Amino acid sequence: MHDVTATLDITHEVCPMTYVRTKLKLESLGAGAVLEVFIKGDEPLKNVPRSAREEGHEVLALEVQPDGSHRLLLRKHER
Amino acid sequence: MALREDQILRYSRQILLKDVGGRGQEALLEGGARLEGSGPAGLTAAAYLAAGGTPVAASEARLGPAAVGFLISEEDVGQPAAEVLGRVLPEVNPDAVHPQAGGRIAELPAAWNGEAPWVALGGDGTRGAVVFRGSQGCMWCFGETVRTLGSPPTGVLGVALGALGALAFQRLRLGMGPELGGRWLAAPGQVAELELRRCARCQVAR
Repeated sequence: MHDVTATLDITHEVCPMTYVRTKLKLESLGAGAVLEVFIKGDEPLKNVPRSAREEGHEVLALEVQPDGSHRLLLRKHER
Repeated sequence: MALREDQILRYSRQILLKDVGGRGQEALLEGGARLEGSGPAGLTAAAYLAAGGTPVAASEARLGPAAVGFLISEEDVGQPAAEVLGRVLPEVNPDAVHPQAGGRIAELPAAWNGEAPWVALGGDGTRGAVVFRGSQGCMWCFGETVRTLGSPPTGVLGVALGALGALAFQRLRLGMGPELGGRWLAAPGQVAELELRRCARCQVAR
């Protein structure tokens, strides 16, 4: 289990706003913070974790929810 | 400053860039640029900077026939650049309305003073040249280099040079190095390193 610092719901967003919202939220958090992101749809499911990894953040978990959406846990990089 | 919702939507593709993000976009919006020159290179740079969120102030120099293009109409020829750009740039981006203190982007020949970034748009008769300097870059080496260059090209190469100059300005505004450098532009997309001329002090230091 990870202590969640902040939560972001982007289930109503479409690309590229899904990662824009995620990136802005990560910027607002301190290094090492854990962001919980709720995602819906194939494209953000693929793109958001990939973009987060490319920017140096750690993907801690990606879990399917009962309604078919996904819960992504990201740890903000230490830089 | 915090980005407004309409700004997050407008600049979303810049925010996505790894080296920009929300903080970088805020920096682009907060700083201004002073434009000297009214050829294709300078006006293209002004449009790119304004579109990216950086307010641009132009000089009082009057626009010549070479200024006519996508920003400037034939009716604007003879009008002060500051007045015309003050009218048309907010149509490109309403955030570009209030020019603030900041850097300078100029078509050569030009005088250089004030706050960095400094971006010079010039050429050697066949190629375009961009020389740039951040606040930590040697202003004497910058001066030695731009002194040897002539006016920027016109036409398509001038437009491409203006876009490259705007990019150099934005990189410096975002704190991205190098603090001093130059690039030749032989044709749109054909970029090569421009070797800087060193001032006497920097020559000794090397």
